[in-house]
Amino acid sequence: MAGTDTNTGMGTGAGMGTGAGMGTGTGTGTGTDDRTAPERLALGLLTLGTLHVQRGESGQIFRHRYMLLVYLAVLPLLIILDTNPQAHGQPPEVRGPVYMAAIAASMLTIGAVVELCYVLRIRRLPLSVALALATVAALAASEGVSRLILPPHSRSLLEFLLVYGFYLALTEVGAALVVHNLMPAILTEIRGRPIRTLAQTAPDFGRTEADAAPSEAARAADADGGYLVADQTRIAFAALQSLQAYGNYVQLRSRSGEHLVTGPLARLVAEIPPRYGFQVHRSHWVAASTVKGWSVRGGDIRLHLEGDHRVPVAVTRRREVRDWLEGLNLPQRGRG
Amino acid sequence: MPDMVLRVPLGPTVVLRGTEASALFRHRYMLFLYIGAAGVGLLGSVGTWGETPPEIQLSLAVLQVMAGVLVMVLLVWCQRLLAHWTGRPRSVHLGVLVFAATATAVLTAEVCDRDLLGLEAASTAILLSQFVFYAVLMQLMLSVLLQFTLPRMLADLRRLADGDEVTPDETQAGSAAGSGV
Repeated sequence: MAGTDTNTGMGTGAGMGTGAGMGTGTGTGTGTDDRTAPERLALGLLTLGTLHVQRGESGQIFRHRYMLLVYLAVLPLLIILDTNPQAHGQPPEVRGPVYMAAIAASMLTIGAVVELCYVLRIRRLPLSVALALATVAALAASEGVSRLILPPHSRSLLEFLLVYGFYLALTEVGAALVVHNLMPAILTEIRGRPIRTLAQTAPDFGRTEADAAPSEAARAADADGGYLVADQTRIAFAALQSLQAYGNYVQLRSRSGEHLVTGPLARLVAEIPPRYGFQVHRSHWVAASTVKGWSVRGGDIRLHLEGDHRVPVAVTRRREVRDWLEGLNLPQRGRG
Repeated sequence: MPDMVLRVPLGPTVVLRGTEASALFRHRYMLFLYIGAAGVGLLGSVGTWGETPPEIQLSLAVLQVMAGVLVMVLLVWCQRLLAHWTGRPRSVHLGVLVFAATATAVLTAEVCDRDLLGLEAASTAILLSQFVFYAVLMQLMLSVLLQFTLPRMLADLRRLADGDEVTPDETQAGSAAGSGV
């Protein structure tokens, strides 16, 4: 059904009595370009599971409000659990900095270990290693600050090791709770797509073909000028305005008119090189050249297209759409 | 009146217009924070009360918080005056305001303890320790509060129509095309 001059085509059947079909040019392609792939680190958990963190995310994670709440919750716990007899003679407001130093040192150590892994190109690391180092740093920091504030005291090596073991176990339990229960919610906000389990923290998890690198057909068609075929008509990628999913069919709007082709939308979008447009919603792909502006109403964003068409932006794709729009430098068109 | 850019440590950066900067500190959510701060001050000083009744300690804690808030509001007003004078928006780091407010609160507590309750004067190390403790705690509490509620607070302040809300992205300075997306 797909009609092209020199290639095998990507044929689809006709639908709804309109005799619609589509196709793209194909040719020789190159492999996926990994140079733009984000650097990532897989942190293996003692309690099973792997947390995938991309470079630059650890700082955002540590500053997230859920993590700030964790620090606030840990602080009174440390005040209560302090084994230093000299500390109990002082009010919490005086010995508080001891525990704050411990929390800060442990978080900084985990951040430093993660960054070091990126620098050394280490792609997998047991989280327990970072936690063990963080506990050492926390004990050293609290010991140092307490010597400045509290009356001097000494600990035997055995006592120190027991205290270390206790806090290490506490840190492991805390990390397991945080990673399994809070991290999916935190990464959902940071990455702008729903993440419900640790497995979904892998950057490639759940990516559609459209999200992935352009297909070989798309690359070849792009190099060839690029076009789709619908209703036996070639439609250049540059002339596309929008695609909208309707069940098993996709409505294709272009400067030459409207066509109905068989779906699914994700497969059609995969054929179009990313520079021509963006899939802003599960049911909508829009061409960059047709977007005239955007508006916000309530929490919803709508794109304004040529011909007074409006397209909603999916909540889960807002971050990616925002990045895309930044490159287009479009004006806001009021609300609604 | 020029805008003011308020930078929240460990939190969002927000562009405030007109009187929003000072109105923000009177929002009901901020009042809850002040009550929480007084409670933290009360708990933090457990062990130093001696014979002083709890209600006196509580009133002193409230007095400290009020002194801190007063300094914070005064500093914001100074920034607004400077912005008005220079005709350019001012960038205010909330961390600096919190440090100033905490220092005021700690010094107020010290003066109250010494002059009203007749307690011994605290050493510099103790005062410094108290300052660090409360400053970090207030930064954390404020960041958590603002990360959770800033969009709603701004929506209240801007009296948006029913159904309209300021989304978290809209609070970010320098997002796509100025703000909004």
